[in-house]
Amino acid sequence: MAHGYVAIQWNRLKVWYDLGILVLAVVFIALFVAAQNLSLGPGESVHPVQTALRATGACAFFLLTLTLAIGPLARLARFFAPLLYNRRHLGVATCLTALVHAGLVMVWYFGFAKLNPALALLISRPLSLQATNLPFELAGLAALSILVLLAATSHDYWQRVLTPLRWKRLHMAVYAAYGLVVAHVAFGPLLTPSQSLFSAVVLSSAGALAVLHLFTGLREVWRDWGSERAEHFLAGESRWKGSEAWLEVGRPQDIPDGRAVMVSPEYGERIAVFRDGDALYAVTNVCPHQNGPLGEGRIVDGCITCPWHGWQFRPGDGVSPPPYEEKVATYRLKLQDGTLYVRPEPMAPGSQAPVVLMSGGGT
Amino acid sequence: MKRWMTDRAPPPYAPPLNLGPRGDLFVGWADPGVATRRNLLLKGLGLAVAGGAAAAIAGPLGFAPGAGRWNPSAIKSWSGLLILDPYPTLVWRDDSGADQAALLGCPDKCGVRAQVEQFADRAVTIRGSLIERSGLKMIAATLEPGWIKPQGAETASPAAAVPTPLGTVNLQGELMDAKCWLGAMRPGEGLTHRSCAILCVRMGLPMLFVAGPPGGRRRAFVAVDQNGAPFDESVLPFVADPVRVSGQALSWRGWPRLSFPVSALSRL
Repeated sequence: MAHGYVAIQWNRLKVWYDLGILVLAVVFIALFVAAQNLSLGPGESVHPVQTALRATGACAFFLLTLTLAIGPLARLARFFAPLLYNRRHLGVATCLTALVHAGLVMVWYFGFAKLNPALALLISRPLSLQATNLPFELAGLAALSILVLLAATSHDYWQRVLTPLRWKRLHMAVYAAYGLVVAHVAFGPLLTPSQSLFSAVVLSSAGALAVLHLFTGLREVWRDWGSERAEHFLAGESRWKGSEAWLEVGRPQDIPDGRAVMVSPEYGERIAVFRDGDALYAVTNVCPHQNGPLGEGRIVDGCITCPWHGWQFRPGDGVSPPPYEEKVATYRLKLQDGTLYVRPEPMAPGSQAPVVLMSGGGT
Repeated sequence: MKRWMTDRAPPPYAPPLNLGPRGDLFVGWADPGVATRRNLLLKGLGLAVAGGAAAAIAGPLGFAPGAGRWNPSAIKSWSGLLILDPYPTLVWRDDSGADQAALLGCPDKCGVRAQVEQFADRAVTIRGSLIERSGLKMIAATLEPGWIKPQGAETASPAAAVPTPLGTVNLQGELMDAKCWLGAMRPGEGLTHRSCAILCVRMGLPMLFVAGPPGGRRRAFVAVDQNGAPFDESVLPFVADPVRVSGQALSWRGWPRLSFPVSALSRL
């Protein structure tokens, strides 16, 4: 407990990343305002506050869509992997932009009356189940509440306190927030005839995001189980059983040096089987930091390195190099008749697994 | 005490990273090298271009702000007769001899009926700022001490408050508060503005019926009930909602007026 952890480690790339987010938001808002003003008819003008609240609302939606798209995009192409690094900063930037939007709305639409703006928000509309009378502002408020909660718990401190599993589950609420944002638009601008085109753009983005997630998810399922298992999964037979006590990995020479292949046991997470020169190792595919796919990483300086945030683990025992202490589960391997097998039961995290050598033998 | 980190730093004992075997693996904490840095910069620029394109597409969509004008800091004085019903209105004759009329409101979301009741049908001078759209006017009174002063003993004749009937009309459009539509908010209509419009009407601002499609040719009428009085709260569910109405059109000092019961409203 005496290691030299620091609260936040900034590096040059993180600074550039955050600067990039700032530039992106500024460019978005500036071009939004410019395009809006260029489209106005003679004598028309939009109030600067309303311009600002529209621009920040659109920007928050864009950033949230981008945040959610990065995950599946990074699964599809390594090109997007650098965006995944520090994605939480993008989420926090989204939250801050949405807060500015909400603040402007509260002041502009619910302020300037002899009522508390929060009270005005709650009572301004008569109760009715008419579609056009649904309080779309409250959907936005609910989405914002979730974004604030997620931004507040985005630090690794909360991941440690909540445990990675609970933290990840909590942060899946970002999808609920996205749904509420879509409802926020659907029951507001969408039902206003003059704004239907704007709504169409928003709903198309949401649709594209849904298709992207679905496609990526099905692709992963397909990869996990092969066509036969995927068919069972799609038929709802999720507890279909195989019979292997040892899972076949394949020929070790087919594993690129310093990289891994992944195998999927019937239950549990994928197993990443790494080759480092002549030695072969197997660890869980799930990084304890943010569930990153270790098997898509590389061996860097003798350590398995997660492609998402660069966390490292020694391949032999799954323990992070000192001064770090994190551990991942390891698995037993065996080489039989030139074919590599892995035993799907994980060993305790940090357990030294017997080393298997491609040339035969091992420890 | 143990503190937490958000990212992994290179282990202190480790030799400089051997970037060769890392290939295309991106490690955030490691120096990516000149080529990768340049590549990242290009990706960032690409993203900014994509974001800018999205903004340029979304910016102009769905807008009908209208040609309303309001400069709250341009305070002026107007002298004329104050008519109380259906909504407080100041009427005067301009330099060219034409009759002018302006609805009255306050700088915020509120009406001024309570403050001007004692001056009904009397000549007054009012300080405020002008809100104007398509020749229709409203004065946002400053409400500062002395913002309304009686002028002499002139009083309005009973005929001054009688509008001219124009006949029955069937219209489609939207009910909204006068202040926002005339230019306090731009745009000041549609569902996104609905809560604000209801709040404004509840707080006593005059109500308009704006006929015509959003973004198209529109004409505003002062909206009153079948007795020529302001509506009660039963009209609120229809505010800022596309509606159809059949009512009596009237004209009063350049302001078109529309008189109808709430039961004559139906949603489109």
